[in-house]
Amino acid sequence: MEQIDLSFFIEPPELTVTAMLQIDALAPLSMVAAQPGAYYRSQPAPTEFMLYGLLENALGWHLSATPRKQVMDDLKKSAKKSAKKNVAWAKSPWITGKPTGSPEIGFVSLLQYHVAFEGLEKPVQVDTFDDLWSQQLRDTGRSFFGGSRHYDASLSDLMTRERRGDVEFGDRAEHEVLRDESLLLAADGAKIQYKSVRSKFPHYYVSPTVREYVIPRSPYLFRLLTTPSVSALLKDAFNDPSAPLYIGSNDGWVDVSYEEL
Amino acid sequence: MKIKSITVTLLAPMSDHAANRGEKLLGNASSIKRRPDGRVYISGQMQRHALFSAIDRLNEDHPQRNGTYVANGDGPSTNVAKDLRSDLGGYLDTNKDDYSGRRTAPATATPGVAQATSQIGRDLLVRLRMDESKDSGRKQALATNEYSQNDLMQMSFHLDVGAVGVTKEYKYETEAHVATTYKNHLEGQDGEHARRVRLFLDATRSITDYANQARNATTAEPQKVLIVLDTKMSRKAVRYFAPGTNATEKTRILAELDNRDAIYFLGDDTNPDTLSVDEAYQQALAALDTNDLYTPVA
Repeated sequence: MEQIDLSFFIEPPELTVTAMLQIDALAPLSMVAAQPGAYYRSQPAPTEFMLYGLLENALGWHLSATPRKQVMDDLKKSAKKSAKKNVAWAKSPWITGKPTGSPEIGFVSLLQYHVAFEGLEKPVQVDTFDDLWSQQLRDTGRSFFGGSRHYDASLSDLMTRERRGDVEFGDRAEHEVLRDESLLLAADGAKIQYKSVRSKFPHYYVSPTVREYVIPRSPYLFRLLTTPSVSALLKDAFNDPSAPLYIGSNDGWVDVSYEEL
Repeated sequence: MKIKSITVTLLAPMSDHAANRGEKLLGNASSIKRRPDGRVYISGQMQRHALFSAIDRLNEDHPQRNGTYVANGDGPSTNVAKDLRSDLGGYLDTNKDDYSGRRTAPATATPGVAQATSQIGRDLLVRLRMDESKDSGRKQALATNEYSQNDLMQMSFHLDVGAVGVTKEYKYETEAHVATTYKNHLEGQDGEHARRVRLFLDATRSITDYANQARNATTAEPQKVLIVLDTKMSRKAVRYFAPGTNATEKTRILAELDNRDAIYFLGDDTNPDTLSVDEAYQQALAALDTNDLYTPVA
């Protein structure tokens, strides 16, 4: 069994090490920061939370929300204990447990108190383009019905009758849930509830969505401050990453180097 | 040597093609996807789709198939043991509340991009109408379709070998330690891990499925290829065929691979002095047998 050592968290976040993170895009990037509406707009550069995600990815810390919260709660307790000796830190977010910044996507980084980003070294020019992307969504009402190309072959006759206007699908009170034979042999003029055919459609329906990509013209350089023990972890992690490195989406491949200054 | 990841980058000639279409322009002209620099591209999503179609075809005919399958793109399962899409392609089970229903994809692809500015042509199509209603005569029955004349498409694929067939699980222990355990979904299926890795590699030379978008027989079978069996999680080698890469950078990319004992195979069907694409693949597939495939579940 492997062990991830998180004892860096119990040390006070004295950010004495300055380092440079260089991110080279190997493919166009789509860095969508917030829960978008119809248009997935990309940021021109990675946000802090994407950078934290990148660091944790390299370190191999893919903790999902529940164990992550357990870990954070327990680490904060230990940090509080050690802070009794370090009165100077009593009011810092590291002890009070206040999150730094507001994570738009609910991601809380284990590194948030021990790594601080100082922003982009110099602005990076980007070319942008919009990709039309088939977003897959789940639904039990009207959308799956209109958004799926595929359905069970047993429905083909019924679907033809629906196109002709002989039967009607809907989700108002007058629409009935029909099963099996009463569904397939529904009389002309029948009003059928969408639920009746849900299980004969794919898990996901497709919604064409516009998603922005950026092509950076030069590497992103981020200066960051951190503690000596975290810096040592990061140096190892970027020499031999635990997982492939991405920014934004899984076709946003990047090559990353980390250097102490 | 322990193979931790596989990077494949290749050039495939395509002519008179629309391997990936975008939005409609001006009403009825369906457009080909293009970057701002005028090079046509195939989106990463389409590349993954085409890769999985190729894996599906190869898997159907495989003698050791053993009940495995590739689920439809719109109906992925969470059955990593048997469904190759849920294993290699990952999934997000939206019925689970947080990230617990998520699997990140061991196999990934970048968009396929033309090496140079593309020449776009337009084809005129006549739509056959079966509708005999009164106002049908007034509707547009002609459509134009964009296509690209001649491109050398560069595309790349990557596989995280250690993540195939495995789920990583975390458990918090005391004293700031998190225990990592691995769930092996392929337990009891001897040789299945290696078979999936080979399927992935073989599929990257077998992509012919731009299906409903391409219409004509578009193929992404490589003319030139660089296959890297890597000792590290790195994908920098995908720059090898990029249009801006000069001879020095190419030499240094290969030198860096040599330095960390990665093995690579460079195939070129247009050069009599190098391996052919077929030889490169044959040798790479043979090297998968003679080297260790990394897996965290020994």
